[in-house]
Amino acid sequence: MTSFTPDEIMVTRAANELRNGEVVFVGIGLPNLACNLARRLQAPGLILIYESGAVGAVPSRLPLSIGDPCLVTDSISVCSMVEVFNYYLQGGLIDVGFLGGAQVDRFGNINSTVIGDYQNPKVRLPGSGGACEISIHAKKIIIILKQNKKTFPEKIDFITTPGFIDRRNLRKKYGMPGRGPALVITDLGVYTFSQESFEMVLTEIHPPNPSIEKIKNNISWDLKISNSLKTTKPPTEGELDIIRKELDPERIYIR
Amino acid sequence: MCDIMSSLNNKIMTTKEAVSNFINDGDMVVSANFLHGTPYAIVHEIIRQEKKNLTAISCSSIEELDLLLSGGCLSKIITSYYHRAGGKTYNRELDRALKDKQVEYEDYTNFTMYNMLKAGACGFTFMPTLKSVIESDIYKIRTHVGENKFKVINCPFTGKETVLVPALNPDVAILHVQRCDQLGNAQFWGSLGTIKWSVLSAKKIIVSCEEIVDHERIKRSPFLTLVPGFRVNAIIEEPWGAHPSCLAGYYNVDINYRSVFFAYALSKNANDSFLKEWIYERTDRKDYIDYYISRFGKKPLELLKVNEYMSDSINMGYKQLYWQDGLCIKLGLTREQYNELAEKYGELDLYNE
Repeated sequence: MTSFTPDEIMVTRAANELRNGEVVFVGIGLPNLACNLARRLQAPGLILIYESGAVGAVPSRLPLSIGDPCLVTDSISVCSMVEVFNYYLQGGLIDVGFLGGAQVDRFGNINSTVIGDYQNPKVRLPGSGGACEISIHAKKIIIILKQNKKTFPEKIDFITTPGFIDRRNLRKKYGMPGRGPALVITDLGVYTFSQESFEMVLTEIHPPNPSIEKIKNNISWDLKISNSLKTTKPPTEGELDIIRKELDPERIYIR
Repeated sequence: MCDIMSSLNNKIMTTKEAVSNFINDGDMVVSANFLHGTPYAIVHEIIRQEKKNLTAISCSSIEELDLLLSGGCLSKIITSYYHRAGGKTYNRELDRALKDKQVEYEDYTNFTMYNMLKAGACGFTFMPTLKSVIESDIYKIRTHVGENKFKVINCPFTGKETVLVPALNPDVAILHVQRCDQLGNAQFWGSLGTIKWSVLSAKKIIVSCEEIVDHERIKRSPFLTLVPGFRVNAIIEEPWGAHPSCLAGYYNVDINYRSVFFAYALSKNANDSFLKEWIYERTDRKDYIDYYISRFGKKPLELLKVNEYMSDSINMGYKQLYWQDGLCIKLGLTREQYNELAEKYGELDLYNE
């Protein structure tokens, strides 16, 4: 096994989740790297959509924001965010939406607004951006974030983006068309969600030193573990080569 | 014949004049560009003129709101995304302003934010939005917009519960584009984001551009026009007007310069000296660019300039009507085809309706 960093396995694991022909709502950072890795490997026909309005983007270098002109050059269409959200997202055309955040709870609700009290913040975060509505409408949500007790708390400080909300899965009550969070990929493992309790379930632990204990030490609630727990497929040399040489050679997002 | 250029008011002016003429203390100002082409020249001028108590509207801001806060220009912010460079431990102007209660902050999502601007641009007083936002704390926690942040009604057609956002009509939109003609017909390309709705929702529009080009060139590619000149109040020619952000067809983000800003922004004192050096002591954007060159040399700016990659040109031609008596429109036929049919089936009585 070639040595790799936690960021790198997060990217390759997310990339492996994508199928050719799928339409993906991409964000900057690790999701962008995952989508562009998949596009270079098993999914050359992956359609990348960025909130800024680039549809079918094929960035030839690392985009530094979703407004980066490199997302527009050679894309198949450029429209406004209004069209991307109202016609593509609300129109039910988005297969996969990638979301990040500062905190996630066991029901896949995400906080990207504030740490601490809203009025007296410890850390003021960027806010929703497109996340709230992407979570409502995309058919499948993949959440990517680093895992520790603070980022996986019992209760998040602010619900920016509803996942399943609670164990009743209130998505149905509000008629949310998307199926909700499907996968959480962290630097330690991969989680899916129980279709009964709508709670996170550990399904994969990352190599090279998989440890359930380490996972449990980095999560604030009593974690459910799948009966068919697996070790995550490690990044291949080819994948690492693309990430390191083409996608993020300056290691701006990958650590 | 009256010449179009000389028949209309000349709206070309300096950034100084535009900000002084069209932005008042207490105004609601929308920064229209979406993470691309941020109108920094105008933002710097607002700070130089020490405008006060502004409400900043932004769908996605980079550092422009930090600068406006540093300049003491803002009392309120309504936004859906406020970029945070440097990670969680990084301290910057917004953190200080929130701690000292200098600014009131209201959160929306991108979707609800542009719905408010879209309502404003359309002349509606509200816009329905996705109901599921109710489960978000963005719906529940309200600051200066208060009760009017969201309202819930029953749809008069279906009876279903519907969430509404109010219309936003900012006093002024500020934006930067690639090019304008002398009438203010502003053309923009690259990432569009929410720029159109931000601009059209505003009562007054200040547009700066990299270059003022001939009216004929604007007319050759009308689909690039973001806002028609008759909606524009001020036209400014301001090369490098969006530096240090990026602009499609012109320049990249200036990462190195932004890093300097981030380093200064860490403390109040350093931040103030950044403002002094780069804004207060600069007379205008030309002076800012000259100063940049004197500090860093010409090379860094040259390196930001983008490669040439021209879009394909398309045929915008059409033909004069082949047959001008109305028959071709009614029948979709050429005269020859019509004659053939008339010979076969007899003359149609098309002239007497």
